[in-house]
Amino acid sequence: MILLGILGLLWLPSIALTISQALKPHFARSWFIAIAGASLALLATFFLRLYLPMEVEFIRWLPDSLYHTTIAFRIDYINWHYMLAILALCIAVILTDSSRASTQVNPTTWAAALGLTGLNLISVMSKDPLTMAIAWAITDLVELIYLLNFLRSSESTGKVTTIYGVRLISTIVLVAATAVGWQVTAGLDFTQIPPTASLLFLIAAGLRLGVLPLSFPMQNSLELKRGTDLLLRFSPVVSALVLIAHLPSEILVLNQNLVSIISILTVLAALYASAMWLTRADANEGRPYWVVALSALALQSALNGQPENSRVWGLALLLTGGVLFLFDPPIRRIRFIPLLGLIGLLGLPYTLAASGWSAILGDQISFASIAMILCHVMLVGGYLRYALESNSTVTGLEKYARITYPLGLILLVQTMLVLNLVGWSGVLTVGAWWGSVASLGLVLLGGLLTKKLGLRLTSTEFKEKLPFYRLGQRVLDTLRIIFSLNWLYAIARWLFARLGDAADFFRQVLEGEAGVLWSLFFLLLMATLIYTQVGQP
Amino acid sequence: MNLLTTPSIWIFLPILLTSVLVLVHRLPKLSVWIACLGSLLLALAAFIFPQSLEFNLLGRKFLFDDTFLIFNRGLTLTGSQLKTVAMLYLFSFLWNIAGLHFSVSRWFPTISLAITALWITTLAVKPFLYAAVIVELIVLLSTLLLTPRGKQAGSGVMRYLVSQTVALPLILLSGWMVTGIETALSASPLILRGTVLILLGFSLWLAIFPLHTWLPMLADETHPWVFSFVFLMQQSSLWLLLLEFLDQFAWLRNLTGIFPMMQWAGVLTVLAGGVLISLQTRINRILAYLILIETGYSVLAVGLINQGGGYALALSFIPRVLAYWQWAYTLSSVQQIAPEIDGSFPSLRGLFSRLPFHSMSLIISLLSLLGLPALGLFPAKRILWNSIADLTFHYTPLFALAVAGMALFILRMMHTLLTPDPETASSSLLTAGEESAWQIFILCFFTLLSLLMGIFPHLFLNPFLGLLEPFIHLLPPG
Repeated sequence: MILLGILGLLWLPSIALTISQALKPHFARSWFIAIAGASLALLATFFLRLYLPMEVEFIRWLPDSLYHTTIAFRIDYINWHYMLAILALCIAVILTDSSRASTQVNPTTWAAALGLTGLNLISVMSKDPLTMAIAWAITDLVELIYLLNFLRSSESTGKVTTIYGVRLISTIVLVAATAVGWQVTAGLDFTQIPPTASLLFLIAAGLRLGVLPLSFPMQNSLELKRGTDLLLRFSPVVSALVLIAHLPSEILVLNQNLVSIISILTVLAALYASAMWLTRADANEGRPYWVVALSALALQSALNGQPENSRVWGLALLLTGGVLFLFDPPIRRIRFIPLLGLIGLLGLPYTLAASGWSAILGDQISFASIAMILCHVMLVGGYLRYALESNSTVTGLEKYARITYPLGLILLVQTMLVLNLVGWSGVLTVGAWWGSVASLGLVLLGGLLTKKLGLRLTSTEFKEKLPFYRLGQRVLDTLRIIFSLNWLYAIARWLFARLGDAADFFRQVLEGEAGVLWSLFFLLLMATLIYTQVGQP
Repeated sequence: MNLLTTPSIWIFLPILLTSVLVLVHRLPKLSVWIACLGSLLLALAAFIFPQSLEFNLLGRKFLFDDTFLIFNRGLTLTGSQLKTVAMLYLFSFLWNIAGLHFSVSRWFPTISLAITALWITTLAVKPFLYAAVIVELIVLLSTLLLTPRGKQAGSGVMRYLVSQTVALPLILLSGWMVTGIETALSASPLILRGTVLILLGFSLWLAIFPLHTWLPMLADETHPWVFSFVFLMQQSSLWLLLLEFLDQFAWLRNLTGIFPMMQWAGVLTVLAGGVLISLQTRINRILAYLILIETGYSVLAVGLINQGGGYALALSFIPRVLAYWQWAYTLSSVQQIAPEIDGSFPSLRGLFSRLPFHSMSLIISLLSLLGLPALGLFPAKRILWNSIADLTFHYTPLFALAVAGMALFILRMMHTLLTPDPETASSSLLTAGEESAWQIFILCFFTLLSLLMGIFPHLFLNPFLGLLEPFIHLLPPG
């Protein structure tokens, strides 16, 4: 009942906003409706913590012997904090939107934010893969329709197709993974995923996260920058992260070679994305890389046999990232708030991400562990850079926005603190402390060096002074070409064109004058096949 | 002669109605309304008619006989077959009600009703081998619809006629060959020959790969609305006829290797459809490939009859019809609104900016046919996917390729519809509203219906499991 109430608190205001906007637009009333609905949903979700784990069966497809399917939700220590994070993000988006009056902020976008958050909650709460697949399919369609409503350029629409394509494939892979899983347990839920199917589940999640294969389809879209659209970019990520967290820890018992290949790809994706994140002109430009880098850390956690600990990197992606990306306009006086957001990323002992270190470092020191530390260094470094480089002094901010804007950011920081205390049992842990210390040490060292030398990462002077800069740049460019996968798409296009030529040739032959004769030939062939195959013992 | 029989109501009455329609065919609106009303009433009557064929009205008890004897042959429509009858008349209603808006032949209401009645006859005629002759009659009638008025019959129509006519002697010969064969050994050469003839006959009727080449040719020459109706009826009815053959001929269903053979035929047909659709550049031909893919799925379902395939077949009937209807309606409507669209992909570029609801409807109907979760065909296709995953690994890569092919086509189509022509690109993606509120309502309604069927199949689709009830030997109750 509470679950349905939470969804109602999001969808009913969303419908109310749409109707109110159509009949009698009123900015303040709309804002209040949106914020009230989302806040109550957040409170209700927080209240659910007392009842974990809980299950709700929504629809049962009968007869059971035919479908083996229930559309059911399960809230436990794997997804509850994601629910809280999404709702906090939704409220933060609406609160901070008020400061972005110059951009296209209107109640319709809040209605969309509430609606999409509700849909995302469904996929996050899914008890089984089939419920998740259905939620993914609906969310993707709704998001597609929403995006098409306001995209303007043909370039953007091309990217929408790419994004939807990747999501569609991930949904298909999820359905395939479920079919494989059902061979072991018909009607399986997330607690029963067999190791044989876990790799397919991992690929489904990796596709949605943009890690396997590496893809940044919306990186240059002008229409999708900040505010409500942040939810659009983070929404597919959350449910994929939940899927990763649900994977069985025995994933390594699978084909070792395949797991190694995926692991190498994941580490490379993490390294590349975090390097790109560090070197972008601003946080907004680096956002797709932030998502991919932290998603890669979450994937690596699963590959190291600790999928449940991937949640800390997922939360860092949403909450720490949310603070930075919603810090717009970047007002110098309150830049301490995004700095506070680092609590969720650093992974120092007894902080939210502390348990995540052991998951990405693995049981023993390896190349992958060192690469993960380097990724973390670059992520923290980039975060600090973008937060400290903020120097805007906005004067024309409305009175209410002076309260709501920082409040939105603080809400995200507070959510991190609350989760740090009550997120799950064992959240307060020392973890692999040396990882965080090493990372922080390297960040500080790098920071001190750049400060001492008076350098800026993006300035040409810095680039000239940096040893092996040209070599590094060339490596990064090469990686960029490789990871853009344009070469692969070009090969695929070429192959597709040749296949098209061949198909056209056969079409002309079969539909031409001799087509009937060909049909007779096929008929004889089929007769022979049937005669030789059927009825044989 | 007892006229209080089920065939009198659902076969002879509509044929009588058809003769009335012949007289008024010059009044298109009246024809359509008579056909619609007739189809709807017959569908409703079949749906609510008691299965015992007995009911009380105004204190009088009516008991209907299920058999009508004619020329010493029987037409039998049992209570368990009435759901099928209701479904076929519902299709006739759906196609006639919207057909009024499109420039199809004015004979459409007349012939569509006649075709529906004849398809029911094929399911009712005893001995059922005579169905082959009636199918040929339907094919001949269909060619009238498939050939646009004032034009010469195209090569597609000719090939269709040839292909279907070749199937006729094969089926009839099989009947003659296997008379009294029930006691023969299953490996008897006569049984094998009979099997070959039956399977070849059905392969030709259903246009199974590689005997499908006339299907896209015909789709390219014909109005999508007419094409979708003719082949929807053909596909739906022939499946039931095939099940009837398997149900009635114990030697056929007990033959070693018959079901694996069907599984392979189904998988290869789905694969061919998936690969070929991904390469298409003419939108009019798409429906042909969609029918090919769905035929493949249905063959596979029959091949997996003992692994839940029969249920998948029954569950897929209505969502498939709705998806065909949505596709054909949208495409016909697009061609009506924008006659300059010649069916090639370049002519569709940027259609989303002009007709956003139509564009989305095309995509959603394709997604439904793909078997996307939450849409109508998903519950049925999921049963098949799970069954083949359980059965053997061999089919999996072939299926993956087929699904990938169709997904690729959907994305290509989406890209074409969304990307404006650079020469006519406007600043906004949405420019003009050429769609009427009624059209928008219809497209949204069918999308919503597909969603509801995908999410609540137990409510919307389970009643159609009753389609399998007549096949008591093939699928024993319980």
